[in-house]
Amino acid sequence: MAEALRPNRGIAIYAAFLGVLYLITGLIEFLSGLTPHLGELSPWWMPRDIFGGLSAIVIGLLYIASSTSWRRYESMGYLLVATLLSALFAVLYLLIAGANGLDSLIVGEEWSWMEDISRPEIWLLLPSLPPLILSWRMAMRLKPEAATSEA
Amino acid sequence: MSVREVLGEEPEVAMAEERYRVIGEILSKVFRGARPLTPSDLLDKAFLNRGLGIPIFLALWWALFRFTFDVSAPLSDLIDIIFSRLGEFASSLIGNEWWSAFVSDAICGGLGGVLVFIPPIFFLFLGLALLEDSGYLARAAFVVDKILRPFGLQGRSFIPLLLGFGCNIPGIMATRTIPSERDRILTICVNPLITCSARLPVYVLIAGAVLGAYAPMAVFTMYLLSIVLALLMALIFKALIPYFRRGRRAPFILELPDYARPTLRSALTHMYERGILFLKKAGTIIFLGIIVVWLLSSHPWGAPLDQSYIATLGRWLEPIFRPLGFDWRGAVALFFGFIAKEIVVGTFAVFFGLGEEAEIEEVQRSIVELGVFTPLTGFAFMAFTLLYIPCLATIGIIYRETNSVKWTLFTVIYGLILAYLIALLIVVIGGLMGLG
Repeated sequence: MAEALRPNRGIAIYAAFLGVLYLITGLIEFLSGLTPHLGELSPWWMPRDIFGGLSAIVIGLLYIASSTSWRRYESMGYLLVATLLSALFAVLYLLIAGANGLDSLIVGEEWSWMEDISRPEIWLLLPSLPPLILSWRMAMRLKPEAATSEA
Repeated sequence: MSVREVLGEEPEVAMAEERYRVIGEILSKVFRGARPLTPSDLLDKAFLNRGLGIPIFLALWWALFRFTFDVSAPLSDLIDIIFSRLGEFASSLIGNEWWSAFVSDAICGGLGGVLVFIPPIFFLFLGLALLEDSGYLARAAFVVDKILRPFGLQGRSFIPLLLGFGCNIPGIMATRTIPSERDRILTICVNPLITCSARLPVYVLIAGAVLGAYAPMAVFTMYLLSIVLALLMALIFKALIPYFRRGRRAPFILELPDYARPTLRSALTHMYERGILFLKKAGTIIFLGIIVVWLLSSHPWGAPLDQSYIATLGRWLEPIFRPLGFDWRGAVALFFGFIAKEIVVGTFAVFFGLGEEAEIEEVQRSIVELGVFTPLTGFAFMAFTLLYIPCLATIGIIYRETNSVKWTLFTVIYGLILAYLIALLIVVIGGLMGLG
């Protein structure tokens, strides 16, 4: 079963691609938050968020770890956690966008919904969905009597 | 001879090691083949990874932080508005001026002041319950334990400390996840040193007014100082206070549960059970405290603020704060800040006759024009604001969580002494360096 858990080369390449996307997004968010000068240069839809950027970098690193260890079953663990975190942050930013909208209604202040909704992590969930479904199904198939590790 | 001396190690460790040795022996006799791989093993490869475990934990903490404070914000604002309108409505119904002010400002303002904390607290406990039910919280404690141990804290102390950056109240309440009473009390004692979000407007106001281009760096320094002093004070308390030194520190033994899909029903039940305690217990203390402060700031009745009992207190406090370069206005602002840090900016605005809704730039201009602070005393004021007790509500929650007047007073008093010493150090060293 541990054999079956190893992702194929295609999945590994796709995970690397997602990893690079998250790393670029995270680095821009982090550096824009850190240096105001760079923040002015970055596109309007890219938030200046130091910790949010670091979180995206962590997701990127998990995808990269999944990709580089694709010959081992651990790869599926990294992929599963990376996709779960992708989903968590996308849902979180959607909730925050909704909360900001609700707050603007309550307080009567202006709400820049485009800024909230255009957060890259929300849109990066879409390409993360296929590996999320795949790794989730694989993990759910694991049962103590059905799979073994060589460790 | 104690059990520890006979065993040569902590009894808990010896018991755990022996238990696992026996389990291993039995398994090796009855089980053939490799150990079954479970979904938990798969997830642990990432969550407990030597290099990625801590970054993943920090990312999840950040998500919890945003969920607690950002997603709950509309509900807090709604409560604030409801009680503000309720106060206005009640005051319009009451003819007597004193009773009208008492009902609108003290009762409604006081209740609103307590209830605005409810949404972030409930959201925090919902988030924590989801993490706990999923089986991750045990892993999180395991991951950060090695970093905090040299400072006398333990893995489970990390979440309460980090939540303190948003608000110290949920931070202190989150210490309930720490099973060791000694570690829990130590975490509670240093939690108020973590700079909560309510202190940020004060930093922005003072740094922007007197520190010019150095303002962002000064604000960042406050956050750095906050972390360094919290860890340092934990280390000092552990070294100096017998209660924290009593016995050898028990090793952090934790049986990691399997991951599970949390259910909303169970998470909501946990959230309600833990969150409702805030209303039942701390609410009474905070509410009464706010009423007392209102009485002090509104009397003698009809007198302007600078002739109120609070102002008298400010003038009485002025000699104490003079070595730090704060006048009676600084002393009163700090006193009001004792109730809640959000009040400090409004207090300065009232002093300058600008009203509580004044723009921050107007208040900053007045601070400079009236020479309330120099760059050095302004920085010292920021450090003082960082280190003394965050708010009345925090005192209430410390008392309720420790169930001890002694620890509550200790936290308040050491915070004040530390704030005074650090502010004095800043003024003296800065003065010797020719800054100011």
